[in-house]
Parts: sequence; structure tokens; C-alpha cells
Amino acid sequence: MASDHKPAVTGGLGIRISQLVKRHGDREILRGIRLDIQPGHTVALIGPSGGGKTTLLRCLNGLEPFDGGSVDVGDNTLHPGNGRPREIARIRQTVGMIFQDFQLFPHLSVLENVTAAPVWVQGEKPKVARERALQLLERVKLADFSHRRPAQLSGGQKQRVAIARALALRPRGLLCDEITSALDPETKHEVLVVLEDLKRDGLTVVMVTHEIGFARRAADRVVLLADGKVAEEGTAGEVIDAPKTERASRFLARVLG
Amino acid sequence: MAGFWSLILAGLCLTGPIHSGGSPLRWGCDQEGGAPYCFLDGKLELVGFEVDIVRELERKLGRKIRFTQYGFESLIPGLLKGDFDFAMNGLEVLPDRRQAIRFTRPYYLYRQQLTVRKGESRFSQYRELAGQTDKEVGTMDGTAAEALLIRDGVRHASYSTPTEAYRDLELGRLDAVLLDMPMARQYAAENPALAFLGEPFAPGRYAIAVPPSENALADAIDRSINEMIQDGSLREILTRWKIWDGFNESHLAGATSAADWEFEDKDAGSGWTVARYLPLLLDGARVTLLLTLASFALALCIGLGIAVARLYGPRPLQILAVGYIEFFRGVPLLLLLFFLYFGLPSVLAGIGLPAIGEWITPFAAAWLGLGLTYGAYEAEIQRSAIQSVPQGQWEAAAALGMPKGLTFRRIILPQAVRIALPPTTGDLVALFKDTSVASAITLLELNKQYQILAKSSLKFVEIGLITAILYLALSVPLGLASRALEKKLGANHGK
Repeated sequence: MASDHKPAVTGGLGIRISQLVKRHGDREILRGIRLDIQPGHTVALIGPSGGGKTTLLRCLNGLEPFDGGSVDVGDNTLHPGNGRPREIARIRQTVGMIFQDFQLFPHLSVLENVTAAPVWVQGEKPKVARERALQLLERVKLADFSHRRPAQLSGGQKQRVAIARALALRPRGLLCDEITSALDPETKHEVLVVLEDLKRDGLTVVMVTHEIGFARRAADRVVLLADGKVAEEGTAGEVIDAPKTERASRFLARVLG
Repeated sequence: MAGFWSLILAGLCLTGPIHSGGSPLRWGCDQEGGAPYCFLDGKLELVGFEVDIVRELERKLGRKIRFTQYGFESLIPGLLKGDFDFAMNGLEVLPDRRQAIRFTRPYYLYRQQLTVRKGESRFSQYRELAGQTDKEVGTMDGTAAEALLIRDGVRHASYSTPTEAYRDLELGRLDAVLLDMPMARQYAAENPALAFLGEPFAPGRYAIAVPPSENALADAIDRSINEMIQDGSLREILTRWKIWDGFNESHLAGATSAADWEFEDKDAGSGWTVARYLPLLLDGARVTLLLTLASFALALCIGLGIAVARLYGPRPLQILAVGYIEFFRGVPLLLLLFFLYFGLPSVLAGIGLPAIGEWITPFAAAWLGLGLTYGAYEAEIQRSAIQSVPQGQWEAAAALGMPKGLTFRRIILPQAVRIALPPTTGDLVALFKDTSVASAITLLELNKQYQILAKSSLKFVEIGLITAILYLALSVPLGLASRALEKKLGANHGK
């Protein structure tokens, strides 16, 4: 049992994005993105809205097909077009995703939300999946809520369930799409605490965020995306405190007030 | 003031049915499938032995008589309501009817004739059919034959025209048909596939029905029929139509007193007590409930299939799905049931599949028709329910590695079912009420039982109330159950 506690997470994986291009009709949303993400790093994607942050994130697990370049996620490579389903399926089982609006399954209990994918997709025995799910819920401090329905939870609680759900597949990476944007400051904190805790497990985390403070504190790398391009990339200190480009300074001046 | 009232009274008298000597008498009769009584011939002229009798009656009464088309099974209620002045359409003098209307003296004496398929060997007389659950006898709504079959506990199906009854006998859907001799002669005597079984029995008389208050008219018609018997014109007409026989010769033409034709099967029809008709109504309610549940289950399956085809199928399949929905929402249910029950067997026989046609019982046709129609409504309900599940649910499931089929089954569909539940409940109640349409294809469901019993006993209000209570006893729990389900499923639903 005790040995079961940690292996929810088995070390991060690296992500390499090469010349990524995504078009929407005539408009280029991503214009040749190049980015290397080291295993175990937490990377914050910041930048003005419409800059392509969320689109980039969704390209990493095949939710969004792209038009040019390639994405390597661990040992799997995504190519332009709709991609090979098998490749995408493998990536989705090694990289979890958490959404801004939670998207818990409303007809399932908290526990069932967490066990759904291991049991249905990976064929794990329900009893084993339940045990593990309870440990994960313990970890996000929601063990007592396992039989509730999502509708009976607060926003922060829902988002922590979503994190437990993503972790249930034992991912080596986590994609977070503005996961605190729909929360009030107090519950935001609960979620960010859980996220920082995960960092210690060596999970690779890519997060789109507006929490500049959190990015500065927790992110190993900060990437500022504007107009479909990487405007600036570096440590939090480099990008946030000493931006080199005019585009970055303008954005930071606005968000930091 | 007095002047005002006398004006009203004068108006009432003028429009009254009988007293105005100049205006023509209105004759209520059903020409649909009405040979040899009264029907349209090949030249679309109204002919029949009753038409000839009416022409003779016009001469004897010295009044014009105008034909009024009226459904056979509603002739007596129509007469009591005042839609016409007299009804004459092979109306049998039955004890229960005599309580409500005045019959004139008879113009014909009928007997019942059992007709079977040629070579029938499983039974040799009417008596053997009593209590046989595997043998079904066709007859017509509101006839003495129907009352006889009910009394004797013979399984039966009631049609609105004789044509369909004899045709279904030929098709093998019925084991026999019991109807008055004139119809048997008209529809079966010349048919090489059919044969009469046994001697005609259960005599009765056809008489003209007049509202109970119209004694003067009844007396005048009585006198005219007497004259027609005495001057031989009645015999001449009936002989021309080949239905005059020795029985009429001795009991009608040779009648010296009313006693000659006052033979009434003493216990036929009379005594409509609750204990007698309630079991029949309950059986109708059972059929209605069964039909509702069976066809709703079919509608749900069809609906889901069509909805999925329309949402996720390849383009041609989507077009077919839309075509299905538009077609079955547009075709009247009654028309569809008529086609499925009366038309489809001959289509199947035409393409060399007569065996399948035999499976199309009234219940099967009603089940299929209701299922197909409500499947179209369900398809639209379920499509919009599926579409109203947020797109994010698909993405969340995809991000967890769930394939599309699995996502649909375990994530989308359970949520769609909850969304679809209230409109689906409404659909179920509508279907429940629409099962009454199946009475048109002889299915003995609740509405049909009501019509048969009410028209035979003329207890429209009493039996109507009990029928209404039975309908409510079925629909109210149905509504409560689905509301409880809605509550249970909806209670924990939300984002």
C-alpha cells in the first residue's frame, strides 16, 4: 500500500515543438513555434489573449490538429493533419489535461470521475482503480467527497477533482489550460498549492496562465507568446523581471499594472 | 315578449325533422362497403336493395327521401342526435336498441351465416368456436353477430366494413367470419376460396329506426311496409337482389301477426351489467398498456439509431435519416396503420413473401406503425439532447484517452438521456393516447372495446366514464413514474 502512494507519477517527459504552424482559414494562429521543454520542468505560457497560448497547448495532445511542423511528446511524434489515432491515444495516456471550466462528468460521482479512464480505457480492475483514486483524492484533500456529485462541489474542489482525474492515468506530463481563471482568489490558492506539490514529483507541467505571481514563484521557464510567435523565453527572472523585447514589456506592464 | 317566444317555437317546428310535410326526409345510411344494402356501383350511382326499398317508400309515403352518408357504427347515436330522420342500413332489432329507439316493422329477416376458407377441417360448426383462444372470427362493429360472439365467448375481431373481414379470412388472418346472410351472400358466396359452414342460424329482423318520439313517422312507415308486403313489391325487390328465401317467405310475407317475426334470441345482447362489460374493458386496457410499452420501446430504439445516423453518419446516411424523420412526422398515423395492416400483406405477397404477411396481426401492425411514427419524434428529441451536451465533455473524455464510441456511450448518452427525459415523457403520453387509433385496424384495445360496448348497449355515458377512469388509471401512474425518474436522475445533475 505504502509503495503505491508515490508511483502515481513516474517522472516527467520532454516535449519538443518544431516549427509549429496552425492556420484558421487564412489566419495563422501559430506561426512557426519552436520550444524545448525539459523533463520535470514547469513551464508557464503567458501572453496577451489571442496570442495562441491555448491553441499551442491543445496541439500538444492532439486535441487540435495543426498544419505544419511537428511535436515530440516523449517517444511519440505528432505530425500535421489529423494524426495517427494510435499515436494520439498513447500521448493522451501519458499527458493529462485540465481545463479552465473543469469538465467533470456530471452524471458520475467524484470517485467515478477519477476511476473512469483507468477502468474503461486501460482496463484496470475497478477495485484497484478505486483504491488508487481514493489515494489521489486524499492527495488533493477531497477524500471525504468521493461520493458527491460534481454539482455539489465548489469551483476549487471541482478543479482539484479534475487534477486527480488526470493523475489517475499515471501521466508523466500535465497540460493546464487557465485552470484558475474561473476561480475566486481563495480557491485559486487551493489549486495552486496542489500544482506546486506535483512539481516535486518531477512531473512535466505546461500551463497557460494569467497568474504572473505564481509563474514567477513556481515556473522553471516562462514563455511569452504573442501574435502566434514566441516573443520571449527564459527563467521567470529573465522574462518577467527583465523583458528584452518591447512586446513583452508592454504586456507585462499591463498585467502587472 | 309572447310574440318573441312564439316566433322561436315556430322556428323550432319548421326546422323539426318530421312535421314539415314538404321537406324531404333524411335517410341515414353508410355506403362504404355497404353492398348489397346500399353502395356505389361501377357507374358511381347509389344502388342496393335498401335504395330500392327507399324509392318504393317515397312513393307510398308521398315524400321525397334524401340520402345522408353516416358511419354505420354511429347510426343510432346519429339518429338520437337528430342528424337524420330515420336510419335504415341493415339495422338489426336488438333488445338494447329497442329501449332507446323505435323500430318499424321489419322489411327483411336475416340469419347469421358462418363462412370459412374452403376445406376447413379443424371445426365443423359455430358451437365449437366458443372459448377457443387460437381461433378468431371476424365480424362487424355494432352488429347482432358481434353481440352473439361476445355472448358466446368467441374470440373475435370487429371490422368497420365486411370487405376487410372477408379479405382477412381469405388471407388466413381469421379462421371464420360471422355476418348476416345478405353480406355472406354478397362477399363470400361467389368466392371460390371461401365456403359456408353449417346452416344459417340466429334469426333476426332488419327494421327502420326512428327516434322514440316520432310515432307518427314510425306508423306511416309501418303502413307503407305493410303495403309493400301485400302488393308484392318488397318480395320483388329482394328477389332481384337474390336474398329472398323460404324463411322470409313464411315468416315475413306469410306473417299473420307480429308473433311470426317477433322471434328474439331471448338472452342475446340484453342485460349490460357492469360485471359483464368490465372484464372486456379491462382486457382492452391491458392491450392498450401492452401496445404503449412495446411501441415506445421500439420508438426509443429507432429514435436513437436515427439520431446517431443523423449526427455522426456519413452524408448519405444523414440524408436518409432526415428523410425518415420528415416522412414519418408527415404521414398521418391512421393512414400508416391502414397501409401496414391492409396494404402491406399484399405488397409482401407480390414480392414473394406471403409468409411475412401472415405475421402482421392488428397488434403487430399497430406496434410497428406507432413505433415508426414516434421513432421519428424521438429521433429529434434525442438529437437535440445529444447536441446540448457541452462540446467540452467530448474534449475532456478525449484528453483522458477515451475513444469516440466509448465517450458517446458512457459520457454523452447518459447526460443526453437526462436532458431528453421531460420531452420524452410528453411523447410517451401522446403515444399512449394515440394507441386508440389502432381501433381502426380492429385491434381490441380500450377505445375499441368502449365503442363496441357503448354502441351495443347504448350506455355511452356510463361505459364512457368507466373507460375514462381506466385511461386515467393508466396514464396518471405513467406520468408520476416518469416524473419520479426525472427527479431521481436530475437531482445530482449539473456542472
